Amino acid sequence: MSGISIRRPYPVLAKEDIGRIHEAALRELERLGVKIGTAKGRSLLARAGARVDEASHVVRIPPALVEEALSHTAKRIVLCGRNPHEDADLDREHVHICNDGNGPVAIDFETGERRPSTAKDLARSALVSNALDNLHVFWPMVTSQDVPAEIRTYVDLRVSFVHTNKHVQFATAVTPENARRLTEMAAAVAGGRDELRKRPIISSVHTSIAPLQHDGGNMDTAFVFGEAGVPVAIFTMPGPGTSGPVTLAGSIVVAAMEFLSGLTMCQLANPGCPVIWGTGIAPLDMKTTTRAGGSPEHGLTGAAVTQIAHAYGVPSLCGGFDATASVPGTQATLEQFASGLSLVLGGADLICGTGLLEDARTLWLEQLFIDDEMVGMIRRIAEGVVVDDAHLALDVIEKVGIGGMFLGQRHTMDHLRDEHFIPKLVDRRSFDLWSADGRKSMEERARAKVRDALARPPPDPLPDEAVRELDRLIEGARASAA
Amino acid sequence: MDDYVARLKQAVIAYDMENMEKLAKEALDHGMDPIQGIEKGLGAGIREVGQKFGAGELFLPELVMAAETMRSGVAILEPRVPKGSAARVTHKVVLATVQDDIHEIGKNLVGTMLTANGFDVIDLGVNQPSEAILKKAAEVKAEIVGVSALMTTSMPRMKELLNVAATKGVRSKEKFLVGGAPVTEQYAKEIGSDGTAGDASGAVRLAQKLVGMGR
Repeated sequence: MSGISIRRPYPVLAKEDIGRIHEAALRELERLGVKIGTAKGRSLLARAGARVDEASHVVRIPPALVEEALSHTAKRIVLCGRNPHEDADLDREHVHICNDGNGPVAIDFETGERRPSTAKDLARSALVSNALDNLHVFWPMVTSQDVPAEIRTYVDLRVSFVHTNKHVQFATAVTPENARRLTEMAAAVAGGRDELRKRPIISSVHTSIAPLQHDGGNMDTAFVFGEAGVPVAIFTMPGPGTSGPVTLAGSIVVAAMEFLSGLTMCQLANPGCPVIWGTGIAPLDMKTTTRAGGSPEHGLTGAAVTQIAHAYGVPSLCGGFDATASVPGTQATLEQFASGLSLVLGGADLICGTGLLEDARTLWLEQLFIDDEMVGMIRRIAEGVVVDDAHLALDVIEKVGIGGMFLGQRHTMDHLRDEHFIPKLVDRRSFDLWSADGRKSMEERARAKVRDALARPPPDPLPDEAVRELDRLIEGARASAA
Repeated sequence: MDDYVARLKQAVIAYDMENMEKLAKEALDHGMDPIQGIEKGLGAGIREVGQKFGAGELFLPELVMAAETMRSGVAILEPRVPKGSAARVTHKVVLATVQDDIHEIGKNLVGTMLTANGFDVIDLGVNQPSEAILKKAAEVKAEIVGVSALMTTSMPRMKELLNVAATKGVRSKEKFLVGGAPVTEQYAKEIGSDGTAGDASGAVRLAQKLVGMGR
């Protein structure tokens, strides 16, 4: 799968802005530094020439060390699917979409009840994801809260592997033990550790703590993944006005400092390992105190980070298509459009956020189809206006002539599907026809699609042997916890 | 011969505009009955395409291309229908934009769709006085007269048309359809027309019902 091709990325930063933000981040990494919770990370940085204060764990990193790390990092990252057809090649020329993940709440598809999420909800979200046109990477959308906490992370990966053949992005690995077991599970499915290194079918997201801190366990976990060749995203998310300056440029500097220090550690630990710049710079709503994931600033800052990441030669993972709205509908759609548009047009390599509402909390299966339609529309905008002989169509203009009709020209049908966005959910029928057909809402129409998707079997079923090995590894986790 | 009938039908379904003329001539050379070719070949093809379009499986350009294909076939076959044989039943429709209005995109779409569904459409164009419309309808023995207006200011011309038609006593011979953005079902009823539809597909269904082709 190729992702959404971007003809002309729409810049939100001028070239000199990118330089200023980078210079500012380098300067402050050396002057102010960052707090680093991992002893291994501090020791690696100290040996490489950083100034480490072992009392406060603050590390000041010289610019040359950061530049050196940037020169080593992997320049091309492919998030591989179990089936190569599902690969997301982060080649910096295509946009890929990932659903939102780790939601704790689900709307029961049958009863409509809002309740804690289960493994069945997760399985269903994977089945629906398989049916979408514009969904390239799967992030376990909710957590399996009907299984014990000590094995939940592993069960989430098992359920994901069983129900989708897409690349699985993970964000709940917080200890090196987590990382080792998840890597073993992925290797069991990929066909061994060497195969996993060649074709990483999982990746892991590691969040820094804004402003300017790296949790010890979290980074140690990232090192384990890096050693196995599993791509890692350092996810930076200062909140403008709370954990970062209220001004967006200031918060982007904080994010850049967190990313660059995380990347430097990762490269020192495992030279050449694949690292992605993750970002979700969404402000806190200063009246309601909720996170404004559906704000225009969220997408805007992600587009800015993408430009800087691409200047570094690394791909970006951006939060977007989010909504704080409680239910599907006009508000959710507006918020998602506002937070997603600039990311697609800006060429973000991977955008996560579809399918959950209440700012990444609640799973609505219908929303996945609505979001897929929205992404499709923005995809059309990103593809731009093609100008060549076939598209200028002078021969057809002459053939049809003055006052003629282009409908019956073969040229019309030859180009229709590429030139026009063809809706799957948006209903463009006239009022009379829509009304005569039961006046169905967008959500009702999406529901029908969910029902179809749930009835389809998972693609590329896992061999029994791999499933048995996954179960054995999960049992191992249960036993070692007991 | 059956083979050629089936091939004509298939050519319409595949909207093979470029090769229809050649195929139709070849069919006649091989002794195919032109009436069979039109009814069971071309006609059957366009009906199938029309049904697929109605079910949302095809796009409008595909329907129009199929209609163009059918038309180029009919142009070859029709002159060879023996004189005195049972003529094809075609339903004639006269279309026009009413006087004081020059908007015709919707009307043209309706005309295209009606043609694609086997109607014989005579389109008078825009800004047509009621008298001219009725004169043409009588001349071609139209079963349906369809008029459109985009502006509320030209809408009263529809009522005028119906009044003139009543005076002339042609309401029993011709059915009158009205359409255009400002036209509602309520308005269509108020002025005593035979109906309106929300879009071009709806207009076709309505026309089919009025001439007794209802599915």
